[in-house]
Amino acid sequence: MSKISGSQIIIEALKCEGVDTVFGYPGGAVIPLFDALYSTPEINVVLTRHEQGAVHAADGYARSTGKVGAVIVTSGPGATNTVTGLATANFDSVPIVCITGQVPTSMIGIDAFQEADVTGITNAVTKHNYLVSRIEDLAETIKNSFHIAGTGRPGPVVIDIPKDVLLGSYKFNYDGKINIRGYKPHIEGHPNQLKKVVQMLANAKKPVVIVGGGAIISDSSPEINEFIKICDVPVTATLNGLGCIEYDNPYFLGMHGMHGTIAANSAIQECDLLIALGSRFDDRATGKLSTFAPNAEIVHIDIDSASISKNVNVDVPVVGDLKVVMKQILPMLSAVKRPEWMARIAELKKKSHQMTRGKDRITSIEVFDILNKTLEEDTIIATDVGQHQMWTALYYKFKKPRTLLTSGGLGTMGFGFPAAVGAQLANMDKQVVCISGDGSFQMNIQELATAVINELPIIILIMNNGYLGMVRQWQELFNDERYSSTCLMKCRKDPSKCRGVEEECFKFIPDFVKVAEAYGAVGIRVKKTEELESAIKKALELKDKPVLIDILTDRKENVWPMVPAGASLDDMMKGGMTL
Amino acid sequence: MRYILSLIVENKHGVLAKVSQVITGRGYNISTLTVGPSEKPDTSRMIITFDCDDKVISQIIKQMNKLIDVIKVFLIDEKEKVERELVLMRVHRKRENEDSLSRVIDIFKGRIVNVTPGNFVIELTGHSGKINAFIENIRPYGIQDLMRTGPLALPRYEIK
Repeated sequence: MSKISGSQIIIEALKCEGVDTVFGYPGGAVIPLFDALYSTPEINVVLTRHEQGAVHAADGYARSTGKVGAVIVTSGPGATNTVTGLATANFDSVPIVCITGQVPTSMIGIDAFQEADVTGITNAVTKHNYLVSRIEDLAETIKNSFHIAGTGRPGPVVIDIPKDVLLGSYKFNYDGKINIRGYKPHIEGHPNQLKKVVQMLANAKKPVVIVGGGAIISDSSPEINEFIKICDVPVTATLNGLGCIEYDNPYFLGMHGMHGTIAANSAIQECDLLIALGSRFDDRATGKLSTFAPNAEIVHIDIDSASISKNVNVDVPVVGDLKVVMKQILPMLSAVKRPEWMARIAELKKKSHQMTRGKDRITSIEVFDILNKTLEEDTIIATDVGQHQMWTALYYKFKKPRTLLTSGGLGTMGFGFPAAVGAQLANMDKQVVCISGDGSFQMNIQELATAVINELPIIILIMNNGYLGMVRQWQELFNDERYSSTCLMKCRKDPSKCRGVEEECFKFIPDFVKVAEAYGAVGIRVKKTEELESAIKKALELKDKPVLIDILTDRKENVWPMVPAGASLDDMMKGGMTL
Repeated sequence: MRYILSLIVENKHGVLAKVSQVITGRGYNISTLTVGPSEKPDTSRMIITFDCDDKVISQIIKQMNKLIDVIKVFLIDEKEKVERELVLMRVHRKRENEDSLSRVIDIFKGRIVNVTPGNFVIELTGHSGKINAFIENIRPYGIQDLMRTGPLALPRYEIK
């Protein structure tokens, strides 16, 4: 077998893994690798404008398709800039393989130019990482990395490759069988545990199902929908579980947790059996643990045994791949009807949110009424983090899995737009919409260049209230309205003397419409509700460039309902909701 | 209570950092940690002891199992184990209490392994409780420096 360069080995390995798109940014240590990519037409190299954007884009690509996202960045700052992206993907179990350049092996440890201890830095934010110090190990390491990233509970894997390994030469062999002795994910659920679950379902009077991100990742939406129908059981989703159950499904209660619906939170508190499918009982989802689902026995089905009984004590744990476990359990079930419980659920669902409409400015519900009316059901929604994210979760009618891309665990502002870029590149047949805020969008605004250059017809909706709205909401409710560092329009003056927007305050900072135009995208400003629908329709017609719609929303609208941090799900603040 | 955790890990670069990262990153405290070669050249054995409750130790075990480079994790049963720790101490040598110091060392079956005009270096091997008791008995003689290995432990029977 003839020898090829380390860079060429990487290219061949990526091709064997079916990688069609790589998000990246070159630099000194990876020049040989980018040189090899230059003559690889099978792989589309997408140059983002920041390495964080590259990882989020690969994340959006992976979440929207289920495939492993691929990233290539340089050593030192290139690698350290990926940390937030990796942590975001790690928290939400997104498969990514991130190749980082490294200084030559002979220079590791001498504080060389653009040297960083990448495996040391990324230990805590990856599923696994490698430093490849011998070219003989390169192909096998890449193969193992894709396997580890994409199987079990998925996650990001970093491969740190010194420059001399890229420049070396060795034969390419990708036929070896994967055998990682410390990594054997549990796939099938234990039959005895499943028998217990079936028995508990038969005995339960008021069961509730929670679907989490694991339901989306494992593609088990069809099985779960069948399950809830057979068992006549209402279902609520975590933020990352949205899309598993269609919004209009009578069994669907909406999201639960801090900004959960009244129906979902009440049903959890009233239920006598709680079945969690691929969710990890995050504190934002459970509220105060000691009063969470106080009357319920808890079943937890998850591929990650470390997620079981970590926060909530579980009565019956089942470790396995959710889709496989669901397929195991479906034939064991007998159909039941629970008319009393479903009547109670219907009653709870009537108490749904009816928000007050805005007078001068646009409120959230009006934005989502229009979106629900105008967007196709396979539209992919990427969000940033904050109020707009929670409004999306509450009001947007998700109908399909993998249509919501959002940073649930880490809560990364700046995630949405680059994730939308990655998702659009992977789904050119679908519309991608990024719902963002004026704070979040500025955290990766530079990716407008990536979107324009790649002619991506992404619609960017900025819900612009001139505030870091979610923090402002907490300050209003819990910090005596002391709006410390949350107004984004404030001029330079003593915050204690601020009386709201005044003459000397900035009107637009920045002017997003002009920013969009400066990048060669289309910018539209919407000040009134009636302008929004036509703006979106116009944006939907443009097929070769991004459209940014700057929506001037009510400055002080809050997200309701809200369970204060650390409080019980029973203690929902309902604020401006009219019941 | 004390838990003794035994790990078989890949004998590779960076594995110790990964293990300790997960433990410290989640806010758990290591009491002792001992690493060395195992019976196979490509694996190492780690014995890590924790002072914690059962909920914490079960979470630690699960987190250790998640690490790709950790091949096997098990708790060592306090009743069915052989445990040894080594201590080295350098103590002041004073003529007036040399005899009584020697008697204490004999009682514990320790050894003086180095002698200079001003001090002794003493070694003792035993389970951690015995080492604790020995140190307390030597302390009055004036310990200059002390180093413990942390326990090594093996189950008495093969763990399948």
